Amino acid sequence: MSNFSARVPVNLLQATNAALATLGHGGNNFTVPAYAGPTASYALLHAWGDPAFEANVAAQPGVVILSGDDPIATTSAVATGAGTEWGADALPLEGIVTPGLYRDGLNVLWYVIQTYDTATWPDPALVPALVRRAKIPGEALPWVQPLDQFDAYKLVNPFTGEADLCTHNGETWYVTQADGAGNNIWEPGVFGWTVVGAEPLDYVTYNSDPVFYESQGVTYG
Amino acid sequence: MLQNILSILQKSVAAAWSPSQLFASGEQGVWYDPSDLTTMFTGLGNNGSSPLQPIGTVADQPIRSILDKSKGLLPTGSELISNGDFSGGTTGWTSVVTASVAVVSGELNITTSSAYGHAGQAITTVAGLAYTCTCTYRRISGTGTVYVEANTLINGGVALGNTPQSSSSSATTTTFTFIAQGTSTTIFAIATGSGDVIGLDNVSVKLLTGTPAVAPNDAARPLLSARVNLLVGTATLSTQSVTVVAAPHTIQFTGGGTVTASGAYSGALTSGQTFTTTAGSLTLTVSGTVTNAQLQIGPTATTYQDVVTASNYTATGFPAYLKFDGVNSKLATNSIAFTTDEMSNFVGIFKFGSATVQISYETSNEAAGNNGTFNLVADTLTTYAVAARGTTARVVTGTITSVTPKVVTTLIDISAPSQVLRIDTVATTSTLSLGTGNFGNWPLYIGMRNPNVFPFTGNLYGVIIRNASTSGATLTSAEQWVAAKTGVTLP
Repeated sequence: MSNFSARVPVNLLQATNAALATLGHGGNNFTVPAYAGPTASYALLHAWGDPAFEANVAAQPGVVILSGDDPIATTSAVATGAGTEWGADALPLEGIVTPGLYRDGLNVLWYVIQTYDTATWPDPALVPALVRRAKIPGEALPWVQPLDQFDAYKLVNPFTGEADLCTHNGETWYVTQADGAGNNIWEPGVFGWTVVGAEPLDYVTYNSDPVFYESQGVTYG
Repeated sequence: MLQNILSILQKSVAAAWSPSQLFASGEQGVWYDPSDLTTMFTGLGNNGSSPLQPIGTVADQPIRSILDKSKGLLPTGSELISNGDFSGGTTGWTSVVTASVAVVSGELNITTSSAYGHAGQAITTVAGLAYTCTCTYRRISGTGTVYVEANTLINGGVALGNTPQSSSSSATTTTFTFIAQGTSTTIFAIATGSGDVIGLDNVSVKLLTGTPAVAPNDAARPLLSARVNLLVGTATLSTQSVTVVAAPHTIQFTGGGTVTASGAYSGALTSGQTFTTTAGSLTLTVSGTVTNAQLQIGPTATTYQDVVTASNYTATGFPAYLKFDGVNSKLATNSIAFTTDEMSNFVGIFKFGSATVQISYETSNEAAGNNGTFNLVADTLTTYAVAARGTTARVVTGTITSVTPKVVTTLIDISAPSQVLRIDTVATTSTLSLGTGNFGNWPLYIGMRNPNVFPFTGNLYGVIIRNASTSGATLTSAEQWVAAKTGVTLP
């Protein structure tokens, strides 16, 4: 029986999912994020029982397929082949941790950047130089101040093809403006974020500071 | 003796009982039944040229959509096709460039100028809902075949459902089902042969009652199966390797030979022995004659299932289930408009994944984070938990002592407050406040949390969700019915 897992680099994800949709397999077949850092760099899938689907997945540029009986083990193997890990591979964020994917007691995924002792630094949110939250594409989690482009929020997330989401001050927000590289490092309500369901504000920047148009009643917001 | 007779009578009564009775008074909810092959599709509707095959006669089949039986799967609402009997000539019917149309003796005749010429009509639909199409079609002349299809577009779209192909000049009347994918769906008749003339008549499309559960894509499809026995060639066993999960397994066999395990477990095995494997490959080395061999997950040897190959095994007498892969298997529904504060869920479930959190089903993106929601969580191998929230989230956890299929019932009343988790009828109850309000208008996700976290590894033998309280004889009947479908004997 056809029983396989596959991976595709994130930069080819949208095109791959679109091609499979055109072939009648539905949208967003690759949905499982795989990490070699705080942001997913590959997308994975597992499927079974359909040789025609397997052939169409295998035919997509950049896709690597691995067959196996155990869906979880096969998915881990295809992720490992690209130097990545997915959620099922994440170990408990306990003791001395080395670079890789971990899961805390609340089942939040973290990516350890440098080896450290969790007994010394029990709250991973306080040591971003050592560990950062592994972002789950499409999930709205509490906003965290990005430190650099690697954990900035994206105007167009290459994984989802949509704007990044977060929750902040009791609202769910999505990115509506970003810098030239598509990154948003500002706090929701300051620049480039819009509450889900609301119309985007026409923010502009002036001397690198975010401001509102005067027509919206606020300047130098 | 009297006890046995009473037990047999109870089971007879349960056998006659149907979950449709749970919805007889218009209760909101859903009922998904993997044992009913007429309600499932590998795609988004009937595939006339490649229908779902009986379990065990082919390799296990992935399921893209399953219909909701709670409302009887009845055609409802107004007729969606206009001029389906062609009394108005060709009005409303469009041919693509490779075909022309004319009405002859009350029948639409489609003359093609190249292969797959076709003509049809776009209707208004709701994405995610099921529709039934009835039509009469035939090949009037030519060499190809004719069929009728529901498609996302008149040309170049995605096929949703279709009739069997026919090359007969005698009219065939067929009904097929499809799940709409947008606000417009096209129904057309198509000829595979160039220059063929085909006929179409008496076309009708209506909405089907119920809320289908649909995988968002082909990778997300759970697998329809009735496999219990993990081995192949079981009548006379030969040395083989099988992939196992980290869980107790039980082996049984007859004959004078021996079986020795290596890999995920090491040691000589005797018939009836239960042993715990690690996840990975288990090799069974056979010496001598070993017959009627069965390896299964769980601590109990159950009825022997003959397995020749993965695509040829005995399915009769073994419960059908949908198997979720623990990676990306998922079914989702449109929002279900629950309106009261009482909820009863009945599920046949077998989990064998060891992940700490696995969402078997859930309304909304997170039951604990949205008002008017509920879920069923399979935590590790030893517990199930139900979370529910009016305006306050509560979790009730029940412990299991064996890795076997279970009948899991949840009974929730927000205003009472009451939250009961019954595993094989053994209840764990909470009366802590769930806040206020009713269960809300949320989609139902089966197999993981939406969008794509906490995947479930295991089997679902049936899911019944009823937006009403259930007690007494009705509760007993519902649990007995699910137990029969799951292969569980309730205490």
